[in-house]
Amino acid sequence: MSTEHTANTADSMNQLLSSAGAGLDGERAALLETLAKHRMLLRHTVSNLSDEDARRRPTASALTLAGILKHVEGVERGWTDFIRTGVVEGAEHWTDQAAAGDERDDFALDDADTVVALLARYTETAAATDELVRTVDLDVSHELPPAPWFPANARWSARQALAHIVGETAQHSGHADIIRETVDGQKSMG
Amino acid sequence: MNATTDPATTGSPAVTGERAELISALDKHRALLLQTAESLTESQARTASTVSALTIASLLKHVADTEEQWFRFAVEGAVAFEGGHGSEVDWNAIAAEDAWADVDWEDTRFVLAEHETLPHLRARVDQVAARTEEVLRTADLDSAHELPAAPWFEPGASWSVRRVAIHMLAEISQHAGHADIVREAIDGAKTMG
Repeated sequence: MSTEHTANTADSMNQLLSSAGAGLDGERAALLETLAKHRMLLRHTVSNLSDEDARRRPTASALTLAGILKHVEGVERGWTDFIRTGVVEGAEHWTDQAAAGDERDDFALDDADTVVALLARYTETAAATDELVRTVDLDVSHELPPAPWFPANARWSARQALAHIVGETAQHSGHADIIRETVDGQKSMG
Repeated sequence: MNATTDPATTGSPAVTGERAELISALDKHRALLLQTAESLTESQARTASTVSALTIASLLKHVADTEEQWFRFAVEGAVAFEGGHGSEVDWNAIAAEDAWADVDWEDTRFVLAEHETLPHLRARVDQVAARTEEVLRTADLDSAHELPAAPWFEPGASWSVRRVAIHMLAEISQHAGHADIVREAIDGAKTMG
């Protein structure tokens, strides 16, 4: 983990944010900066953590820090795929899973899902998202996959999918804040 | 803000595209936060149920205060932060001494007064949301103001109305995440979307 970029000072965050949206129009720059900031907050929350602690369930919730990281990376990858293709991987199972009351399985961890591996995958996904945000037509929309939590036949633009990624990342980062504080007392920087 | 017109007097013309999508995203994530307070007693809402000092009621209060202040900033600039959290601290002097982590000031952002009951806090969240919507319907989304000096902001950076809106989307969502865990520890209710 020592090789991971944990960026745990306000200065390093500011350096990253000041370059995130350079040279772009206002909307793209705002999206890139906000995504960068909130990914970094989550990365900070899981930094300097053993894989054992990352898999603990220290609160009343079933969530783990590693599970959150895996899910958030999957959300970002799934919804950027939606922007590109109109398809979210795994969405074909959402209606059945919801009817059966099953928990979403994208929080489940394999042996290979170490914090280092999850953070590396998150870095790759983030880079692909950022490239998309720089170039995509933000008004282009696709029909949402069927799910009990979406209205039938509703559509989301690229902008709405990106707003969803921002909201999901930050909400799960909020879960992670309290789980991390429970694990070892480390408070978030948010 | 000469672009500001009151939707009450203009018949609230329908907005589309970016404005509508920012408004609806904020509404959705605010609703996820409010959902964590559903069916709680006042006592439960003030219970710190995890290792964190946060409570459902204090989170509602903080989010409403923060959203109000940020959208005031979006229209009026850094004056919105005067007298607020950390504003009495000379951050430049502290940065020069590289000692900002040692700064201590009384953090009253999450402290509740007696009258701040759940009905009061819900009404407050709704009232702030209505003002946010008014700004997002009418303001120039590119109109920007310089941020106040603080260690958590890039020096000299300006934020547009749009940037404030996306920031608040994340801010509300992060606190909704705190509230999810606090709520589940109170009575087992799972509220995460």
